[in-house]
Amino acid sequence: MIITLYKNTSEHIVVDKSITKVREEEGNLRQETSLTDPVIVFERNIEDFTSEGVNYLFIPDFGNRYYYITGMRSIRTHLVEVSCHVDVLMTYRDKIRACSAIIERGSPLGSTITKNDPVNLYVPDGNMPALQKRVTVLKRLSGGVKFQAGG
Amino acid sequence: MCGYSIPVSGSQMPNVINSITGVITGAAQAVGGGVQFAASVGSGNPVGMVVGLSQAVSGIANAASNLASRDMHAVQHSGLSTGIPGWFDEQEPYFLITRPQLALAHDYSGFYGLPGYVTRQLTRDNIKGFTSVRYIHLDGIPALESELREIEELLHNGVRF
Repeated sequence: MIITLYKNTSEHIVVDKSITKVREEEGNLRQETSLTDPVIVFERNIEDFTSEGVNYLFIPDFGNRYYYITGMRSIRTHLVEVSCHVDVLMTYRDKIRACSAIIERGSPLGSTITKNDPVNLYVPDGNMPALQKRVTVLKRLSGGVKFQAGG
Repeated sequence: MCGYSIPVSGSQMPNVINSITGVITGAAQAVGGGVQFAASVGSGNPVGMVVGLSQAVSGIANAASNLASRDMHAVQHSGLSTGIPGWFDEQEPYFLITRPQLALAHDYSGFYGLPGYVTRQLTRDNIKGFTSVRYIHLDGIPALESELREIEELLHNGVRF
């Protein structure tokens, strides 16, 4: 079984993680483990993980799942136990993008809001703060003629 | 807020009639004062001359005032000044709009998103940045039940595409 180790610099809620491959490890599982929360023992020193910032891994044999490294425990010299949890967003990112959904809050696609954006500022939203001060603007009606009195 | 009231109904007519009546009354008052003044001159009564002259001048002033304001009563001007002074104000209609100002922090939508309530497929062309999902059908995802629940919970709380 091959396990690819990565350094992940994206936060938890990012769908497409920004990951950098560190190295591959090859070995065999010698004890039972979970698919979503596996615990894997590597014949490595814990410094081999921490020095290179390894915090993420990919296991093709586990259904092409990506995993966060949630914990490490040094058992003894040259033996480290790594606890993981599946990253469902990265693992199923293409399948998720194929789904349709009702967007509750969204972001503009560009620098300005257009009708194609999943945003509707006319929807009442108590979360958007407003200044205490109100602004008064003058809008002229263009294209007409001046009013004539008595005529 | 529009600055003018245009007299398109009969409700403005009393103003016009009052102006005309005021002109007639003022003229009559001026004539009466003139007659009294002339009689007082003939009789050598100085008090009558002063009173008659005063009434004549007052009557002329009233008549002139009502005559000058006859047309202006027909169009009413709202805003800071009304009536005759209003004619020195802006003669074109305009709106004064008072509204609240948003106090959005920099990249507010990137952190928390903006209200949406629209249906979209979550493709790269449709969705970008912070997004939270109200309802979704997770069809066609070969995930475990626990994983599907986690996906739905994450999408509901908000993710960044």
